[in-house]
Amino acid sequence: MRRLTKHGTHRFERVAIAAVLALLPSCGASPTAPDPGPAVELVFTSSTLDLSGELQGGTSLRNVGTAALGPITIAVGQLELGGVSVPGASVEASPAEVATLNPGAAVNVTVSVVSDVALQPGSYSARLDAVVGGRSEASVGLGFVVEAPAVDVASIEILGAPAGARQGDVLVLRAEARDASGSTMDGVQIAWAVSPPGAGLITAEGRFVGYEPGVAQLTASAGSQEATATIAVSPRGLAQGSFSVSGQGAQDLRFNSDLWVHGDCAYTGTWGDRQGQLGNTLNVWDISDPTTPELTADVLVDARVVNDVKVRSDGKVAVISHEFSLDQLNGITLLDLSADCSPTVISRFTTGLQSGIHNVWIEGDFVYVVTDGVGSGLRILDISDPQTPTVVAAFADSFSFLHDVYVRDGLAFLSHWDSGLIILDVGNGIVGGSPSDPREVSRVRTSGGQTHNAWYWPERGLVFVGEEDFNTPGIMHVVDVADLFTPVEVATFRVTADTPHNFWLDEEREILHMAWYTQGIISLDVSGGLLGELERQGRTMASQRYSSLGACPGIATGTCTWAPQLHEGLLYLADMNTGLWVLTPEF
Amino acid sequence: MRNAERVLLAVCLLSAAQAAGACGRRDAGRPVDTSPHAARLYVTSGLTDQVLRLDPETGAVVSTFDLDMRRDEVDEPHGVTISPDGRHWYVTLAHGNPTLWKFELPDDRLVGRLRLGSRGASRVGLTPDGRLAFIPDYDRAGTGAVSEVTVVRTEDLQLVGRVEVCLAPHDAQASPDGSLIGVTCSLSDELAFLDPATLDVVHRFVVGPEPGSPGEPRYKPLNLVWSPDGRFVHVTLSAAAVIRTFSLAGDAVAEVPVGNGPAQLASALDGHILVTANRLDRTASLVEVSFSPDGKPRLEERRRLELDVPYPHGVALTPNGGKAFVTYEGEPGRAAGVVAVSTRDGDVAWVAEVGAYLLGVAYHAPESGP
Repeated sequence: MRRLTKHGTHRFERVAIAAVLALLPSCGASPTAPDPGPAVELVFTSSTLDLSGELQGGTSLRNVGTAALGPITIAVGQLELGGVSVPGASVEASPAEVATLNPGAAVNVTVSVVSDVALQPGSYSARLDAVVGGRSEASVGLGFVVEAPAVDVASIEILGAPAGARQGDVLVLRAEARDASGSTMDGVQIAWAVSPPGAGLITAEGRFVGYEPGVAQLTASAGSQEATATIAVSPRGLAQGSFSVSGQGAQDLRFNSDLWVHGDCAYTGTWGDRQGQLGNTLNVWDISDPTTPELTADVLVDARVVNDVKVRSDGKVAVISHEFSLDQLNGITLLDLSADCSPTVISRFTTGLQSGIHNVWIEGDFVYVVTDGVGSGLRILDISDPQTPTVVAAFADSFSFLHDVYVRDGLAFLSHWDSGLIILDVGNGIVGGSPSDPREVSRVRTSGGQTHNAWYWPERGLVFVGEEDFNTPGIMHVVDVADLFTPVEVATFRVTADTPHNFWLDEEREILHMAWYTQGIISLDVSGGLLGELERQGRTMASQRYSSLGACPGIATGTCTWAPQLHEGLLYLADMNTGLWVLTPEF
Repeated sequence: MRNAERVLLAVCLLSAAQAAGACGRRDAGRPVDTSPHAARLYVTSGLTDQVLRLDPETGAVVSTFDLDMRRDEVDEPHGVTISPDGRHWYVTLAHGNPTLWKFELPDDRLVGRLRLGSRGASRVGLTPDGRLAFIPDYDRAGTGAVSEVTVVRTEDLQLVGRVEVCLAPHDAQASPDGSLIGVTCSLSDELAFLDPATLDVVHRFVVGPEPGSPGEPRYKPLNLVWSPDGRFVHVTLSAAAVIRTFSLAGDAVAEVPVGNGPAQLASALDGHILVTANRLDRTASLVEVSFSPDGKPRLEERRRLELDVPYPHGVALTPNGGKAFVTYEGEPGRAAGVVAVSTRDGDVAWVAEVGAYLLGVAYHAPESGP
């Protein structure tokens, strides 16, 4: 992520316009719930803040009440241009959280625009809120203008604009500027705009995606000249699909966790404490008849959370994680899967893994292990002798904790929470890495951080990233890694309720299945180019709960979807509350 | 209701639901004092990401504080302590982004939360004036890095510093005069002393004659308390099943065998009674501290308190040491909870099956203890 200044990577001059700021939300509280405590009296020194020029600025937050307050989250909303969010760009506040503010005390808050993409000329806005106990107690409207540079252009023409497109189709437009002699002018910055506001998104590079069915007018301008193109945006036309329930394996003794399916067996972990029943079990299901999954075995281990399970691609070995074990050693357990749906323990390995293991991956003779703790990070274990694994490498970023790891094509994608998505070469060769010598290729911090899980799609050069944030709309981020050295966030998918958990991509059909906790399973059409706000593009193919709405986790039967996996045309789901589900996509 | 506080007041307030098993007390039926100046017990529930406030007289849950920063992830509230002036209590979250939370007494209002930026967070030690908090990171991830104690100014929750100390420090407690901070180094078999003014490690020593190798401790010092005169430190050596007492020079001057896996340690105000929770044998040990004519301390286990609960972990005492409150973690098929036990006769006053994976405990009596 690059922090922008006017001397930075973009060439635009930036000037302030008060008109933008006048339209922004004003300072003040927006109560949403009764307040049981003393009155909260927080004020920013200004109701608006102009970031033009340096693309950063500062304000002060003061406690003018009589009671100490904290924590105070300094929340920044989406950066918007013309009523749509700008992928790959955001505003960040520092501090992001004020620990406490005593009566009369004040804290300086600085805000900066950060972007991995070129910013279009135009008027941008965002909102800064001081949030206490989940509600905004004071706010500031943020704004800035990116102005197109002055240039002497005689004419401009939009090239390559089709007459029509579907919602979500990404078009690449080009505008050609000419001088008075009619010669094409190279290097002229084109300012693009979409009308009406909200009809779609167009980037500085002329990539357009339509949001609303109807007519979108695109304007390209440079200097005093402008050209327009009209595109009829038609509905994407996906029929609303659904899933039918084909089978269920009930397991409500313990909370369930992650899922892996291989051959005729499915494996589900267990989690936490459910009325005294601890997450110390790996449940094994015979799914040879998927309409009636049969619990064939349970592997009991020393843990209070078996958060993850993975099966090697040859189906011979599985690895499960331990957290909060009674013996305080945690670690991993390797399982022999040679007997049908009846694993046996090969070994438990704990050295250096005592802080707890949250997620795992297995690839050939190596197991990738996510250790708990800020700065603890990844361990890579050689399990060529599965009786005696050895740690061959470690990697960690000290800023945040590592949450998950996904390995494919010799690349490890680390979901490193507030450090973002980190890509390691663990054998791909792009920077000479190997499992025993992992080397960082690149990293990107998707807006909002809290990078929870990732799925790499090499054929399309994309990574789907889950942001697990229970305080804002749940967000799936799309990161373009066509150039692995410069990953860029290009799109998001937001759902107002709850937050996403794990994903499974049907790469053949180009459908991303996302576990979304209380919302069940959401299936998204990810065909074609991906740009902007995917939830506004008619791409949702199915969104379904297979049981009632309830707490997550909860002791009742409400939907609480943890993980999906597509297997032989059926979608298997692990549900925290209820166990294993087998769904048939009806689309 | 505020999200971060979500104080679910009166969850179990003498309700029929509570008596029916939600709180599982053996001593249901007695009235609960919920007045602002009532004595109170705070316990951390590591798997439900909560702090529970209990009535020390009955074990009834008076209120529940939700510290769940990441639903469906375990954040693990760990250590809890009361400020010396009785105006605040503090609690750590050990997992995810380790944090220190500050609540105001007597109304239990959340007034702050600091992201520590540390690898973890275990117990909280406060200086006698309450101005500084010391939080060891208890990093057991085996990175080989020496881990740290984080120092926080409590008035405004500002980070003062981070001190590299040793492997997996678990407890940090200030001497009675505030001149030293004792730190237990659980994976390197050491005890270290910090100068709170300079944040330097001024002395460190191994806690036994044959320490284990780094990461493979032979003694595993976990927790400590100071003698009231500040001349000695009592330390639970979890792997050796003893409490050992050290002089400031690092000499082992007394020792007493206790139950297996002694974890937390608490002292009566006058220093003559110690109680440790024996994590691995369902007991607690009541230890009497006396002094020989030459001023050396003597430790004697006076009573093995048979708690019959799985994995006792935390312990707090009333000021005169008459009653001990022991948290237990629970085990498969057996819920977690708290036991209140008389140190005079070993009688169990009550057992409250509450929370999950109970760890820390703090007792607060605004006026005076029983």
